[in-house]
Amino acid sequence: MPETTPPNKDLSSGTITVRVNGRSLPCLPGQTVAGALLMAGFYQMRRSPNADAPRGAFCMVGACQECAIMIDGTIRRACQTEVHDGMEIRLEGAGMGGVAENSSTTATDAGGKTVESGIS
Amino acid sequence: MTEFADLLVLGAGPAGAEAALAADHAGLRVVLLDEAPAAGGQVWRAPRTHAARTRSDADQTRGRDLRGRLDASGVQVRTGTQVWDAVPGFCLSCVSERGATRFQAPRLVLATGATERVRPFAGWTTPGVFGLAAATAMMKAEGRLAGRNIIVAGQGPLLIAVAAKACAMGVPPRAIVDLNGRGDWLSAVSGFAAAPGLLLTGLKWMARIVAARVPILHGADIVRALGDDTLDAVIVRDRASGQETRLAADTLYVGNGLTPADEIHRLLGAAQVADALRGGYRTLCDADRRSSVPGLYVAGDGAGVHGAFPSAAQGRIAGLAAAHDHGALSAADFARASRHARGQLKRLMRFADASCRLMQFPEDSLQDIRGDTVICRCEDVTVDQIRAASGDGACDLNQLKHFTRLGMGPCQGRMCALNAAGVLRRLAVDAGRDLRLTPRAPVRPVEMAQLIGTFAYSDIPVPKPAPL
Repeated sequence: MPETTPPNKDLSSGTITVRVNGRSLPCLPGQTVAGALLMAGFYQMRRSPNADAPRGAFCMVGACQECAIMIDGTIRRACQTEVHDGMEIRLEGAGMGGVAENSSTTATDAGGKTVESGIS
Repeated sequence: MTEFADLLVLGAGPAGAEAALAADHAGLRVVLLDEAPAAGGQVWRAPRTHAARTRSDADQTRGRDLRGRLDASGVQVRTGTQVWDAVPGFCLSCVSERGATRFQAPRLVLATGATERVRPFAGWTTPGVFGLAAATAMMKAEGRLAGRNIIVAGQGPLLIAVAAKACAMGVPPRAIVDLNGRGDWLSAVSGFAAAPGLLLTGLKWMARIVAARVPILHGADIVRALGDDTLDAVIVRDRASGQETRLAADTLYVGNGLTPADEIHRLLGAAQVADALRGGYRTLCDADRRSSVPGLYVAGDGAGVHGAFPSAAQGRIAGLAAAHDHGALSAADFARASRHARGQLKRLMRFADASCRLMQFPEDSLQDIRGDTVICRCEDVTVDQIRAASGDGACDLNQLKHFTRLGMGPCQGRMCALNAAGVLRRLAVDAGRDLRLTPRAPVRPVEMAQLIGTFAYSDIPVPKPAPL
């Protein structure tokens, strides 16, 4: 997976931390969720519902919907959503399981509770 | 809740902002709507992070100037507002953080801008493949560019702009894969000379690319992206010899020009004409930017791709025309106030034509796409499935949608419709047929919860039952 380029020099000045699949990710104020994920090397954000193929941000202008993932409990476009402290991000889209450790259609949130993926 | 105005302007890029400012100056009550968090459009997009704010370039300065002028004006700017329906009259239905809202005015300027086109290739859905405009969005808004080993590909001035800006950010691309040949660029120079300032900017970009020793592969395109979960490499094909080369990359930015974002033009029934140079279809209008629908004006790339500066001039003319038609501006004042913009527009036309020619989508190359290539990204519909549907009798885009679900996903056909039309047109479809999806509300995906909002059951009007 690609590394952060160029290095996030002003990361230390950032006071925002989001959680991605339960793990902490420091972000810069004003960053979009997609921007923060891409800079941290999270290129794959969800899988497509029909072919179960890996997908990530594509157009970055809100048109393609490829980065529509679970943000604070609802499906939102990561490229159009600004990060806020304590934001809960899950790398899963509507109607299918997520990426990384989640291969089934249910995912376990940080509290250990099993949640249904998809639009809530 | 409905907000009333004399004029609604949809889209706060160069065209819409200038239209709103001109009409406001003439004394109209103007509401300017945009889905972005700040005015500026794609080209003069507002920075969101400290890193982006501290970068200075001409587009950044122009955007700041535009937002400053809007702040100082009487224009009611409603950013973060998505329009999902429009009816003549004109009433726009929107959603924003404030919930569902409506705006109504007797006149409407559509300045909705353009959407990027990307020619599909095998593996173009692999994470790490982005549109070329995605690179500019990242750099302008966040002051960052994703990727370490990047390749930029496609065509037109944006290709060179992205490559040069990537160099300036310390991430020189491993290669530039340019669909156009050197000859195409040379024949554009005389058109570019119509705007010497912009030509100079382009030459500076080229100098930066040359200084960074970025190889430029002319007359070549991407035929395949490789990688399981994320991008590992791309296959580049020389269009003349057919020779294929593998280039390692973790990130690809690729774009093949622009197409008007004209859903609302079509929803309102504005007359259009096919115009490949302007990105597909152009909305017909008179010299004052009046469309075929009374009270509806069109400006900027949404009505036919011209680029930022001609768009701004068109916007100013449209705003003044609306003020004149509203009775706020005499014919003489209208002529005087619009003279400069009309001159600019005329002067910049050769520049716009030269840019558009370099950006013109390679329709013919759609027939070489591998059968397993995904066309509809949302529903994973492939070229083979389109061909099969055509064989089964699907002969327009609506039928193709019924046969395959192409265009039924959340992007609503924005990424696939024109590419699918290009594939279908080569399968014995008569040339004159309109191969577009019927425009329908909602023109943006909206959440039911946002539309419904909070309401009391007693507010719901219940009609009297019919007598038995």
